[in-house]
Order: sequence, then C-alpha cells, then structure tokens
Amino acid sequence: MSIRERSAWISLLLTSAIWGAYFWKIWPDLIDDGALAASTTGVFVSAVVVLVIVQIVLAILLAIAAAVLRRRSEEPPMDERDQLIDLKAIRVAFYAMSALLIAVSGLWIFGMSPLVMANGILASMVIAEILRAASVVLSYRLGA
Amino acid sequence: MAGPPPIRNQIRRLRFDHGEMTQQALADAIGMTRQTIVAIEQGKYSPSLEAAFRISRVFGVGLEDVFQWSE
Repeated sequence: MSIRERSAWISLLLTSAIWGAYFWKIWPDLIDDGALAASTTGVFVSAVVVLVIVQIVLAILLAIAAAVLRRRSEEPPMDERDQLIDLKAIRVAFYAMSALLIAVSGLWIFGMSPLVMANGILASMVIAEILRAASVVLSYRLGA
Repeated sequence: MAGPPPIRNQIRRLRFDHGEMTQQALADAIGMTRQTIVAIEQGKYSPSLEAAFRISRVFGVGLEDVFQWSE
C-alpha cells in the first residue's frame, strides 16, 4: 500500500469518526429546531474549532507513525496514475459538494435557522471530503 | 462504468527475460511507482503513450512487443 493510499485511509477514517460523532450528537437538536437556544451557537463554534484541531493533530500523529513504520525513507513523487486518481477524486468531491450546497441553500426557503444551515454547509464539506478519500481508496484498490 | 481496456502486456515476462528485473527496478527506470507497475501488469491501469514508450525502451523492444490490443 502506497503512502498516498494510506493517507487516504487515514483521512477517510478520521473524518468519518470525528465528524460522525459530532453530527450524531447534534442531530437531535438540529431536527428539533425549536430547541436551539442562542447559547447553542457558541457551542457550535467551539465544537467546530475543537474538532478541526483534533482532526489535524490526529492526522499529523498518524502520518508521523506511518512514516516511522514504513520501510523506505523516501516516498517517490506522484506519477501519472497518482495524479489521475487524485484528479478523479477531486472531481467526485466537487460535484458532491456542489449538489449538497445547492440543497442546503434550499433550506432557507423552508425557514431553517442560520445554525441549521451552518451545520448543513459543514456537513456538505465533510461528506465531500469523505467521498474524495473513498474515491482515492477505491481507485487504488480497483485500479485507476 | 467502462470496464478495463482490452490491452494485454508482456511486462512480467520481459522483466524475467531481462535479468529477472524487479518491479521496483522497472519503476525507477521509467520514473513511476512500483504500485503503478503492478497495476499495469495486472491490466488494471493503461499507461500513457509516453510511459508505454519508456517501458518498451527499457526492454529494447517495440511498443507492440510489450502491449497488445486484444479484441
């Protein structure tokens, strides 16, 4: 397994775990819009900041561990297959994020609160990243 | 989704015929990763024209001695 595929696995698992836990926790409050209080906005901002920091730190630690454990000291530069896989994955993420953001913007028509829309935008970005990483993993497994 | 292209290759045989060249050695010779060479040999990835020419030049044979279009 190349380090690029390994990095994609790390991103996929970390993003799914961290943000999945966040949305699992906040989902009851989001669907019951009346339960949202002004203080929830502060909780939302704090949670996003903390989760982003946690994700970055964990990704760095796992990348260091992967670098220490791998046999070769140098990772070869991206070749044409790596670039093709990367471009395909970015295209998947772009289309997914575009569609989701259009859907989220439609929430405004239904009078959803700004906090719900903010979480919708955040969820769109998270889903796009998950799809990008999954596309990379599948391409390396099944062939580009 | 389109299936794999109908292209066969003789890379594995040519490697063995050339002093049992390793996949890593071939990858280093043409500037690609070993994983890409594996994918090419398994028919999971079709290299670019440039990469195909580089591979054939490593073995000192023509392009169609390395890659064949199978209908």
